[in-house]
Amino acid sequence: MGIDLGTSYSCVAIIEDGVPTVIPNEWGERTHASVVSFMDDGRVLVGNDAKKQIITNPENTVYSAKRLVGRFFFSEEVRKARSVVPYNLVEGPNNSVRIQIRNQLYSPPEVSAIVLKEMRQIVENHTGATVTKAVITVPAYFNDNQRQATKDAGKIAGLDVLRIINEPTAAALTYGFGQGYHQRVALYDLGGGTFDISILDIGDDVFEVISTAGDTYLGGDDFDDRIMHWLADSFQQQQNVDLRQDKYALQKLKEAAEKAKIGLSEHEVVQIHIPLIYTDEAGYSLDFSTTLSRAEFNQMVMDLVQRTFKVCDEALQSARITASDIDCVILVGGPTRLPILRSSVRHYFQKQPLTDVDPDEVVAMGAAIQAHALLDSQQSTFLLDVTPLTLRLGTVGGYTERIIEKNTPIPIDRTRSFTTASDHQERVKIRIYQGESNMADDNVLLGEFEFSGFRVAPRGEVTIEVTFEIDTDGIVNVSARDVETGAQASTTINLSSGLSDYEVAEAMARNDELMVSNR
Amino acid sequence: MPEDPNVHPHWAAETKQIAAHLDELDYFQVLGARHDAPFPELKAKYHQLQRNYHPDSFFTSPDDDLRRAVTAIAKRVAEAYVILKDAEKRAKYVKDITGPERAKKLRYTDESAREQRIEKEQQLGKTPQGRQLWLKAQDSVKKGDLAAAVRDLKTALIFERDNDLFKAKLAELETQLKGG
Repeated sequence: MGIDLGTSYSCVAIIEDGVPTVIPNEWGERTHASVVSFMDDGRVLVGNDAKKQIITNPENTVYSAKRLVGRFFFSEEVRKARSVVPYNLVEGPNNSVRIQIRNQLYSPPEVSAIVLKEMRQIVENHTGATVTKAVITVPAYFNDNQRQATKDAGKIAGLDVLRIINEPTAAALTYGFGQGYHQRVALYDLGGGTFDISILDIGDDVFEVISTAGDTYLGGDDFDDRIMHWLADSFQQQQNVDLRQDKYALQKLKEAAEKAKIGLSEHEVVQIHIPLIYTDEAGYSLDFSTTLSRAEFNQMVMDLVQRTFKVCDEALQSARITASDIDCVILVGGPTRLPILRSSVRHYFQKQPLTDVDPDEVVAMGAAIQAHALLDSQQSTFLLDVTPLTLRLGTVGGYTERIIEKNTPIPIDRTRSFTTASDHQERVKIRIYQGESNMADDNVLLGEFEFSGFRVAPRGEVTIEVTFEIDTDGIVNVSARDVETGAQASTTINLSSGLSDYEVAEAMARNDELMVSNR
Repeated sequence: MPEDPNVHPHWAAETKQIAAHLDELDYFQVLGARHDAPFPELKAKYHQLQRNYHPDSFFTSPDDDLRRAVTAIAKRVAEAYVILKDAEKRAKYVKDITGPERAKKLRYTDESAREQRIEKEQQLGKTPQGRQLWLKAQDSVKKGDLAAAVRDLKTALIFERDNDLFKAKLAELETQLKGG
């Protein structure tokens, strides 16, 4: 099966009679809110039902867990999340993030695992057979920590994760499937929480990613936030009350904002009505009604739209081409339904974007195609993807050196030699980063690796060859050997955002005990 | 080791052989292209090789050694493509593998990148003054004023004492001046 594990919504597809097919749940829903609600009676709700609990059970309902996956507790994104989400975020081991639900701590991958398990359940209900093998998609711009954490989520859910693939690449597979494209394609992928642009050369049977760029802090949620703040401002003007001080009211505003945004894709003007949003000191409850026009909305979000094109500029520049070299543009992700985005994309690329496949479903379908291709050795298409971020090695004084440049095809490896700096040195430590800055602190730390088990000798006599590999999942592996003896050095990873094997096992056990309820 | 029923045993054995000897091949040999092959040809070769050796095609192969071998080949093919795709790196690489240190330079290393950077800096000059004087000297040569060019280069060398390119040009001009 192919699973699109989204920030806001998830979707699952399989290949049925040779055709990628999205599997709906028992109620006919084809996309499922990536929300998990832990009820007082011990039941756990997942999906669109859980989403309804955001307002009634805010402290125990987790949404947008994907924004936290593979992040450090002190990162910008986690700081931002802590100020807006009603559930409690606490610091875990090694600067990691934990979600506190009553007395229990959950890692973000553990929450994602509950969503993944639900996707698996939907497929199993449909096929009547056990299904464990899955391809899971991630934003192309996800770093190694985030990819690892997504893989951990799959493991916790009891899945055999065949591959982690990039969302825009998956979408390209769906479009290219049996259509005989022979062109240069841009995938414009705006999801709930992230934006990616990928440029591919598609031949008869080959999907070669030329470049990719993205912004993991920009998505449809930010569009909702703009409406939400606009609503709060309007209410403040009318009633002189700031609803932002009340997390309950804020959730209602957010819900109304998302609804209004979706409405504006079809209508010029939408009515917004939120009953009983505020209760004053006298115990009198107020409703809130207003209207929002497309023109007003467009003005609110214009800078967000412009930001996506800055990222597009970057991707085109990396590919050493211009917008006019693109033969076709494909839109991916729910927010690309917005007329403002469609017209801006058309204007930027000077081409009518393709929307033949539902932008909410196209990624899951591509993931299913890839899962099928991996398991069938007679597969006819193959995928050449790239690493989105430059891999770096920490050096003295807080600087870094490039090891593998961004947009390098994967899998790939690179070898570096290190000599011991002191007599009888037993260990060599290196720090690995991902990002585009020469300064270590401006990049994301992937981990600190320590090598030992090589010969102990006077300084400079031992040379250790360290191989940095980026595998087909886009995940970084590091290994080392003593050049002279050829002996493999043992590698330990200190300081990493990932879960230990023990933590994964523990989370798996907890996951098995969950009472996931079907309404 | 269980054999992969989907591939011919000869092909599997040959593939493992290629993987074992990858470090003896230069990038052109890896891709099976001539040193002067145009980029579209390299790209076509790259696609063809990935079609044959991409690890995805062997995902379910029971032969671990074969999977390791195709992964090693696919990685080296990608490396060759990335380096040769870049015109500057390609020029430096061709020079390296046709030079005396060929055996050491079959893979484009950090050392190659450093050397390339130095060469480039020397060509243009490392300092704004050096660059300007270098251009001025070339201009003087075009006008036939060799004495002026020599003066410019000597001044340029004050700013960039170690620039071999400036030194070589100066020596060349001085010989010409004496001869003339």
